[in-house]
Amino acid sequence: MAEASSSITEKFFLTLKSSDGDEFVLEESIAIQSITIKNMVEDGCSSSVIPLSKVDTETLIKVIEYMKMHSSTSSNEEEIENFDKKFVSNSINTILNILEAANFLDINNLLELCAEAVANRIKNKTPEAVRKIFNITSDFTPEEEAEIRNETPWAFEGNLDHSLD
Amino acid sequence: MEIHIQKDEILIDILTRLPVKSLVRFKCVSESWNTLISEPYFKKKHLNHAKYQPNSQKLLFSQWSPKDKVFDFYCYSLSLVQLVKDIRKFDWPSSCNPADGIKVYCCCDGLFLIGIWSNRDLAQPSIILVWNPSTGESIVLPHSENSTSDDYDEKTIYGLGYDSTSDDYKVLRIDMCWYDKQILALKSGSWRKIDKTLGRTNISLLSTMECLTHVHGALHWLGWLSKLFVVSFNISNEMFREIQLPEMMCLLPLNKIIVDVDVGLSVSGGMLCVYYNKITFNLWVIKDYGVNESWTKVLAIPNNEIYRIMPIYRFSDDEVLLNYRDWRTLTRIEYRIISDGLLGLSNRIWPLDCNDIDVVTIDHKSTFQSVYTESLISPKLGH
Repeated sequence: MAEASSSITEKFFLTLKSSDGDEFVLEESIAIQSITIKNMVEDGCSSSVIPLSKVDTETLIKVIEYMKMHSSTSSNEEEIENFDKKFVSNSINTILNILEAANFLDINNLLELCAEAVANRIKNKTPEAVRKIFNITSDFTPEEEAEIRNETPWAFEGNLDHSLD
Repeated sequence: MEIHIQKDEILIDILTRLPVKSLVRFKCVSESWNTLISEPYFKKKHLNHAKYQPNSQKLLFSQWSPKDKVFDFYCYSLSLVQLVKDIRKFDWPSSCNPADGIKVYCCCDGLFLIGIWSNRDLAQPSIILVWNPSTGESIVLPHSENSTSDDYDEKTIYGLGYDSTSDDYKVLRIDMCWYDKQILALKSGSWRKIDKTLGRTNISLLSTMECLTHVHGALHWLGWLSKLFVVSFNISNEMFREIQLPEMMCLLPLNKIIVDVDVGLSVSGGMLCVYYNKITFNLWVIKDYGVNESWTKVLAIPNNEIYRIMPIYRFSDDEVLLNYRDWRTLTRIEYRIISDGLLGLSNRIWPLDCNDIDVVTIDHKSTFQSVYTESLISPKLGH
């Protein structure tokens, strides 16, 4: 019995706090996929709760889901692939939020996954749809916009996607 | 402020992954998107990402259109299964009328160097231009001072390459009769002679029909100097060099080889490659550029009496796209994927079900095809 207990590696846990004030307890080995968190752990600032003021609860839940699936201890390749496929089928707004969180937390895989997903989703869209998705107000006058369009009419040909998701 | 910078970073990360057509369309989203997409820094970042993306590799065709009596360019998306019917016909710059002949000299970073004849009797093209088919941008190059000797233009070659040192694209012009070598950097826009003392001056060239091969910051072609070898011209330091070929090819007698039919150079998976076709079609790549010992044979297949086979694209280590002209159907180019799997060589004719494009009429001299990376790179660097 003594042998068995000595072979159990001690698990460390971290508490992450979202901008909405919700706390999540996570194994350190999983959380350090985030380079930002890893640096904090190494600097010894992780003994208490880690506040993530830029990540809301909904987004943090998704990010944790992702990190759990992608941590080295669990999941085979096929599982991960299926998970990623499902993950990027979230609404484009959710993915953009996750993208910002991934950038802040410095999780490179997640960043790439989401950037690729957003690119795929918007590549056939109209400029009007893109403006709405990214919350952009056009600062072109109608004449200026017409001029840009007339320079490259071929870029506006084909079946363009007007949807916002 | 900090948040704003992060947002820009994320936006760049997303936009870098978009096809050229989407980016050109999204220029009218807002002023800041327009500025970002037009930024040389962004264009380069986009290119560096696109280079490794299978979706950004396109096949460019030229085709004579008997109806309109002009040469048209088309592009297709490549995929392992078939040519994707994402066909786009490119508009020519309005200043040219390619009715009497075109020649594609070279391709680099999505830019094509093309000669256009408006009079078929002349040896010199009337116009030489650098054209980005993906964005439609082009510039006409000034005529070189020495380009008066019309009769010998068969012996003039042109190449285009990127010089990372000066962050500029350079056009090389070599008159093989007079050993006259000139360079035009797109930023400066004028021709200058290259110092003859740099590197080897005795440049030989086997055929001016071939398209120069641009890879590893240098232009390459096949030359002959007591034996067959590769001549390379480094775009940055403007030096000529020789690269030895695999042993089997060094022994080939000059009178028995025809460039582009029996032997030829190409780029495959970002590496310089050479092929030799006699009974067997052989393909080598130089895995470690500059190390002659690193030539590695990647393909050896019976040619079944097909005399004109060219490597077009390498999907992966063991899947190569070849095109060939069967002697029975000389007016057709067929595509075939050769896979060197565990069960030995297998092949698939490609395209599989693209009825509208599998018959490609070929004008023997002018038809051309090349795989390129779609890019935003502008040939207009002069201002």
